[in-house]
Amino acid sequence: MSHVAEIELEVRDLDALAEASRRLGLEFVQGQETYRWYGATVGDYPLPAGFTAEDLGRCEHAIRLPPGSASGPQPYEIGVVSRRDGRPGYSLLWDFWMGGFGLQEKVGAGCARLRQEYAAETTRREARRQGFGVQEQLGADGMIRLRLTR
Amino acid sequence: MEVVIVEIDGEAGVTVRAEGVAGPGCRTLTAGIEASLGRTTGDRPTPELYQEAPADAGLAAGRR
Repeated sequence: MSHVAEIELEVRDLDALAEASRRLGLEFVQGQETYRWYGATVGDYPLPAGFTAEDLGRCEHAIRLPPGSASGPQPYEIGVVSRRDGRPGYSLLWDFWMGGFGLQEKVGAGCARLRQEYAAETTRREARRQGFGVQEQLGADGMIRLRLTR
Repeated sequence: MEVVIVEIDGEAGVTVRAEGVAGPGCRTLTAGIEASLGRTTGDRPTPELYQEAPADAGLAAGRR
């Protein structure tokens, strides 16, 4: 071992995001321009940098539970929107009130589970591109460990 | 064999490290993986980074 790099994840690869969504039982909908949410903000949580309340509900792509997969209220959806803080990639916008009516069970609090799966998929893709073989372990603590060899 | 370990915790915190590579070559080995994932915000060296890469075999044998 020689150095350990810590990475601030940036969601940039939509194909990897679509695959990560599929692995969690979700659908990535290319080109969907609105996402389902409560429809009005009461200002109880800060918005991502560069976004205003008027931006909520609008997106470039969306992630959703498959239609008909949840009983009760229609689950909310995740909006995939280009970041507005000067960094590359996309923000994931969603309304997590009441867990987004089933959405949070799939994507985790703060979309952490979806972001984790996205990072794993991006690693698999880049590793294959560079000629690495990939072995995976899922730790009891929820850690995904990928061992790349060539 | 070149080995890179990528660990992603439940909060999507990511670390990348090379195993068994001494010297600065380890940074080259992990750079592409790091760049695909996002921005490298921290980079902690471990003692092997300061080892020199193995001397060229020809030089070690006295060829000059």
